[in-house]
Amino acid sequence: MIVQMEKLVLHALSDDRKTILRRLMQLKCIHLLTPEQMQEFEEIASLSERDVPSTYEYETKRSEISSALSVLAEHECKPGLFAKKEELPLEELLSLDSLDEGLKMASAVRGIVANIAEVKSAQSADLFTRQTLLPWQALDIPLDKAESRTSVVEFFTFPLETDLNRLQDESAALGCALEVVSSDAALHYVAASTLRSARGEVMNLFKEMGALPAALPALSGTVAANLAAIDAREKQNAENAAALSQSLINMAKDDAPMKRAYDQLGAVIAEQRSRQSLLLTEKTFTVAAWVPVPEKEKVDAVLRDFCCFYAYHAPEKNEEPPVKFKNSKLVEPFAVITEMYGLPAPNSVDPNPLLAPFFFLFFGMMLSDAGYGLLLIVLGFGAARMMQKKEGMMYQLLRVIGLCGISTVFWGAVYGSWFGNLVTQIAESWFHKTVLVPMLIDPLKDPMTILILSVAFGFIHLLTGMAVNAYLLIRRGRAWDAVCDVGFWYMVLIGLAGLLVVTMGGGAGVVDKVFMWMAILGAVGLLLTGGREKPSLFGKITGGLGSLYNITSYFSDILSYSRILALGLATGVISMVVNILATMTAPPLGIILFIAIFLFGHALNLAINALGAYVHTSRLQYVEFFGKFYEGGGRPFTPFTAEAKYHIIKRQGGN
Amino acid sequence: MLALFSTETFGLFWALAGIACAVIFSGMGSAKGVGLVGQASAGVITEDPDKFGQLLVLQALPGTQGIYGFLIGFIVMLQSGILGGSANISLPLGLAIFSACLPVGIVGLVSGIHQGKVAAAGVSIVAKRPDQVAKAIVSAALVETYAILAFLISMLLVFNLPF
Repeated sequence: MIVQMEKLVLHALSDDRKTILRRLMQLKCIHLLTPEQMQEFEEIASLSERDVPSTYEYETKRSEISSALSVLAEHECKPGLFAKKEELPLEELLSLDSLDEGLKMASAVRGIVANIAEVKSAQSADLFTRQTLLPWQALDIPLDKAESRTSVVEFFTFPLETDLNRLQDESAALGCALEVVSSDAALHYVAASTLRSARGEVMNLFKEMGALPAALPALSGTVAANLAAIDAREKQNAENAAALSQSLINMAKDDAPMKRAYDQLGAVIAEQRSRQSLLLTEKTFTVAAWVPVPEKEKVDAVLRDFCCFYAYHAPEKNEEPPVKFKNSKLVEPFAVITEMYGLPAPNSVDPNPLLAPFFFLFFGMMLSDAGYGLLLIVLGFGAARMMQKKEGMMYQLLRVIGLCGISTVFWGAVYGSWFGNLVTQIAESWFHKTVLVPMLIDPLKDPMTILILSVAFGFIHLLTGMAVNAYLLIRRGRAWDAVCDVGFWYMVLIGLAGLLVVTMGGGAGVVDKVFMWMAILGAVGLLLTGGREKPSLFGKITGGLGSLYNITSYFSDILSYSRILALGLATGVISMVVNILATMTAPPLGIILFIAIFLFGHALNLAINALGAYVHTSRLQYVEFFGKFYEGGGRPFTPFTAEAKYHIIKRQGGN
Repeated sequence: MLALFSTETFGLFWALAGIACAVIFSGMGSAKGVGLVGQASAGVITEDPDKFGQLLVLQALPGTQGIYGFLIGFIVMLQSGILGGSANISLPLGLAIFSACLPVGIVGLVSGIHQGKVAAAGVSIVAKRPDQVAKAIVSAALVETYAILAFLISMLLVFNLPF
């Protein structure tokens, strides 16, 4: 059911503010409201002012630590789903005692990251110089002594197809000595010693021959010496880089203070943000919050310790309290299915107690293999048990998987499917014997029975959805609408269904007449009342006809449940195919092939069909079932508390 | 030569053509659909590799058509004895098998492609609001309904043929 909420308005002394807020934070059961949402806001606002808390400083610090942590995360192995987190009480989180140490570590990490960046840029600069120098390795003059009073040494590249002999002859004639230092796949690297007086003509010649001046870095000493120096530096840089990343790995091993500081800052930010909900006077503050009615006592127990005034108000007509579900242990996990669709409006109904049994049933019928069911039970409940935090979407989803496994085992047993026809197939292929597995319905020989069963369950599912609609209408004092929109349809649908069953059963006489007249009466009722809200006579007639025409949508809704049979058959037949392939080769060699094909094939089939069963069961709930009554638009109940990423918050009194 | 043109072999031919239709067309639909989603998700994965799991689910959805077609093909092979090598299929039976295979093949082709398009559009939901992935999955599953219906009809037809 949807938990009832009442609005708490609390006036207390400013001196107690911190303590009261912290104790309420501990409770994790109030949903804070902004001051504008208070009933008496207009009156109070003129007497008080809003609190303007600043979280800027904390958030900057938190983002410093979080960026350091994300650097370190690359240097440690990712914690699994079941990694144990340390438990911390809330007071310790709010104490910020690790903040200094955490910030110090974060800045150390930043320093290392800056050093690494420095080393990397030095490395890439060296790499570039090395690439430039490499072709000139054989040059034996120091680079800084490449000119004299009368001549200058310059460096050029020439295209590979240059006629070097001609070049040499012609430039010698002009007063220039050439040396081809090296050549590679594209270029000749040439050093030219030119008389200063002849430089202009030589340059013209070179330009004509396609030369480009080569820019060598301004270095002293020979090229070979420089290359050696670079190699030595590179070795040093590589060592430095390795040492730096090793120190990051070491830091990643004991980053606990940073994680602690991160969560502490998160808690303090949450505490500071809550102050946005306060209205202040000189000596007092006022705050409003939604409190679930069953939790009122806990809140009372806290407030009793302080000098304050508070009152609870039931929600007004125009107010929409946040939505929180409270259900039995078996129904509770199925709330994740509803939450994925969207929460119901607070004055509507909680669909979970009705959704749960049908989800359970349909999922089992769709997957319908006892072997897979057992696997789901072990995997789902096992993983849920191993999770440290017994709440949240993942935990509930795992429990849904486990619960649906039970239904899958049941329907698997009904269909006689244990990893498909595994036993029968082995007996037949390897031992040429016929072994029969006990079953109630053979889906391959008797699909019609399952089809009828699927559609019948679907029929009940739809009628349930319509009944909820009627309940909502009656609760809102619209009993006549309930009769017209649900009652007449009940008559038509049950009448037609009864007629079908009786006719198929071959029985005739009184019973089918009863059903027939029931359907006809219902249809007449629909025809007469379908347009009751239309003002004109014409509108009333077309409204009635339109309402009756809806029979097609009911028809397609009911047929939609035939997918239960189809998905059940798909699982069974794929299993059969896997088993046939796995037992094709006789033992002993066959055993190895069998294990490989069995594991791969059934893992694939389980994955595909469990996904299919989940998706299509959800669809039947969302489209066919919710379509009949669901009123969305609820806001989730978000309790005032702190969330921790690296720790589990330990609450007073367990939980 | 004469045996090749007897009515028995024509029956076998039509049965094989049916199997081929069921497997080929639905497989083509799924291949196209899965491919579309794969292309769309690659872009998201370059930005955020952690979303691979959710995207894989979306990508797997249009793959079922191919499986349904394969299943129909396999069941025909099994029921008619083609798998055991002792097929004796008359011409009318062969034509009936062919017809029974058409729904899953043709609807599989079209619905696979369209489901792929819907799922590929759902990839952007995962990119922007990963908590809403369930809605993307359900939208894609709405398209699959028609593949399921076609599969169901093909299946029931094949089961009720007089082999």
